[in-house]
Amino acid sequence: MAGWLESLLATLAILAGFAMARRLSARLGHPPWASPVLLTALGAAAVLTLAGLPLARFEAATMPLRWLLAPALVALASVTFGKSGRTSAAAGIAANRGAALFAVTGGTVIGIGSAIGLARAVGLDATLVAALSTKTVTTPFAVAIMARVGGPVALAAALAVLTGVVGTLLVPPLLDRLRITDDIARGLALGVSAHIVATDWLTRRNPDSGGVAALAFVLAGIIASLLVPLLWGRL
Amino acid sequence: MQAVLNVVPGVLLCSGLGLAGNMLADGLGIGLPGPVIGLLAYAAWLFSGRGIGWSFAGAALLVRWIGAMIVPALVGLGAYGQLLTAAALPLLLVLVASTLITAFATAGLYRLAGGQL
Repeated sequence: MAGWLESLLATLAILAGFAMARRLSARLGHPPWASPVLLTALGAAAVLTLAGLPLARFEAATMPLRWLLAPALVALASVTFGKSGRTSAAAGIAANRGAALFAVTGGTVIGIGSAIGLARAVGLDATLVAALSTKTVTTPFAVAIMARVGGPVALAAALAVLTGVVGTLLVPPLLDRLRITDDIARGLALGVSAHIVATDWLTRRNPDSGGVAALAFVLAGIIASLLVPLLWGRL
Repeated sequence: MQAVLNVVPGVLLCSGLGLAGNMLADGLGIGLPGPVIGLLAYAAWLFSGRGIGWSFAGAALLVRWIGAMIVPALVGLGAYGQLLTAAALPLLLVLVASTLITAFATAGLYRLAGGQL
């Protein structure tokens, strides 16, 4: 089959699979564990295994989707804006701008530091330590950072998605237990720790807090993009 | 047809900024990923409020399908099967502990810095 035709078919198949996974997730009530990204990836892996297709061929065929990830990451800047063109989170955060920036910066640094530190403490392999360095940012940022520094892209992408799912399941009960009920504090904590998965979950329940989480995960991604390449040789 | 035409400017803008970011990162030899430079430029443009509303439809389309663009990278995880199986439990413990620490630290730092609750 011609290369371009195979690319077109593979790209359309992934897009169709993702649309179906999103519909399934909606039918289940958008639980964090039914992440459309995870469901689509599992489906694609199952098809590859059953059809006996080599991974390299799949990677070559899905190059258009990989290429589109860069513009999609650029487009993430727009998630902090409402339809009116003003930041949706700005109204809530305006009075606490300094505190919010301090919290996101500190939270991201502690997130990266704790992942690397704990991974080393339990003796994880150097590849896993490297991949964990981007677990506190949303997957498109993790992929961009790893592609730039030459790290394990697939591993970092998987750990970032898993962090989003685990964080969305565990962080809200933690915040409840600590009696952190404020929309801004909850949005910042969920946005930094469990990024896009938690932002999606939170936005369905509390759009104001979800707007704060969106701003937080984009900021966390920018901070990690500056920090991780600087740390790279020392991981 | 109109719906397609509505998204084209935003998709082209984000693609152009991503490419320009990559060229800048490569040219300067810096570690910052090119698309992040593009994101910073787009954010600066959005925050300046200078009539960039025409880009929202295309940007929203890209964000809506961003999950599908991650799938090819995730499928490549099969190459790490042995490594993951050998370290599954400690890896999960690190992931959970670090996530909870991050959330606690972020909320705590917000309070510490005087953020209103």
